[in-house]
Amino acid sequence: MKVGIIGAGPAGVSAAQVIADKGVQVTLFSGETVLPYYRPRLPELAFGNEDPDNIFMNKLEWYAENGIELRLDSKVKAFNNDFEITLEDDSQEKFDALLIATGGRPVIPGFCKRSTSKDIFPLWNYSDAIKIREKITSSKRMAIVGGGVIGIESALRAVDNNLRVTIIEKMKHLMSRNFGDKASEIIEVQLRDRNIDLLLDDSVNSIEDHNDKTLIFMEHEFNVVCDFVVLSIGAGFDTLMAADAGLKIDRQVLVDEHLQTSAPGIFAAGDIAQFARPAPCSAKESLQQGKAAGNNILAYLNKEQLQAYEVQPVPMRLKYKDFEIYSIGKVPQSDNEEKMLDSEDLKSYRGCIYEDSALAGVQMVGSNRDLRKYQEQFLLSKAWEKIKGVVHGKGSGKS
Amino acid sequence: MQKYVCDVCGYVYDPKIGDPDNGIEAGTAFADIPEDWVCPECGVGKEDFSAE
Repeated sequence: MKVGIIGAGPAGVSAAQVIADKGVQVTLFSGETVLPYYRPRLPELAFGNEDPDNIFMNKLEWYAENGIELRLDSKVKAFNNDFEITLEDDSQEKFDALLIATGGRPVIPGFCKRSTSKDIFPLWNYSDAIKIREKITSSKRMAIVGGGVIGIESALRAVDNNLRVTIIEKMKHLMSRNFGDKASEIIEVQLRDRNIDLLLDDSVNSIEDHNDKTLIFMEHEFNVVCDFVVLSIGAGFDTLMAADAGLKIDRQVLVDEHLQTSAPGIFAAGDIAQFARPAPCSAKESLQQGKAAGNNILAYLNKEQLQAYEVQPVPMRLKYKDFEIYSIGKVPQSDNEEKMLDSEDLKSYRGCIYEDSALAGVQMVGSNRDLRKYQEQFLLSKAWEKIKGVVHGKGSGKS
Repeated sequence: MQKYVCDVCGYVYDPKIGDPDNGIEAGTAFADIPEDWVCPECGVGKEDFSAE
């Protein structure tokens, strides 16, 4: 029996480990030229002093030693219901089950695709991080488009590396998907106090290189002049290959509670997997889904019972030196109630969100006093049960 | 005392500081942290930490 795993991020690698552990042959296909690594380390690699060899999940020898055939620089072009994989060179390999663990891809907006600038960098993979790391050595000013957690972490690290940084965000506030207005305002004060310029509530029209600078032409405000631009706008998903194989897709590749797609014997795990409704993913969630999918693939091959998997809550959090933010669950909206626990000047904020008296969300900025207590409460709350139900398609819920 | 780094997100556990917000007092060696403790940054377990 042989299993093929498409994608060598945390989900793919942890599934490979589980499968190889039981003596089943497994081939792990990576489209990248470097060893599998942990994506959360990339901002550290791009903007900080991280050693480029330090972020790999395992040494090269570990794979063969653990019965995993690792194939780097082997992007998969297509697969089908008969578990046949086609690589870019049109060579084909056949397996007895497949795991799709291809993750996401960076959002690249139109104004970037149309731009001829040589100095726009996504921050999605290892190669991006190395390019940014090199660019920094000859730069003084950086603009980051996208004020989410990656943009903020990148800005904090870059400022410590003596760059002047501007974060450009099209919404009125940073991190508006994870924090309400009160909390975001405090986040913004904290960033400005650390010498990060914020350009909010404005959109980029175009980006052009001019002499040795890069100009960002904004919709409303003045133009931004910098040496290079980093994109941290968010993640999209490439479902074309899965759709071509006849798999049911939505925003991502659809899976049932066993992480199995609509094609028997083809499973999906990590960022690319969607239960009934999309849910946030993380490195930890990917590791866990990978393990669960790996076990279910073994069960499938042995014609045994598959185990159901349930998502865990995925918080949005960042701690960099004395800057810390945390958000889990719902944010303040018209149909819920925000109870602010406390807020010290503009230094900190702690608040809870209640839906029908159940704890539905927790946000903290600049402090995480009693966080554990609220996390535990949230895990046990009716509101989390309801969110889980919507993700797994068990309850009725707003889409 | 030996510091430990989370392989996944880079968080450094420094025994001198501990992780008081999660019940680990300053001065606690990594080996003495309970097995159900997780990285305060990204949530993975002790098994994903390496000596610095």
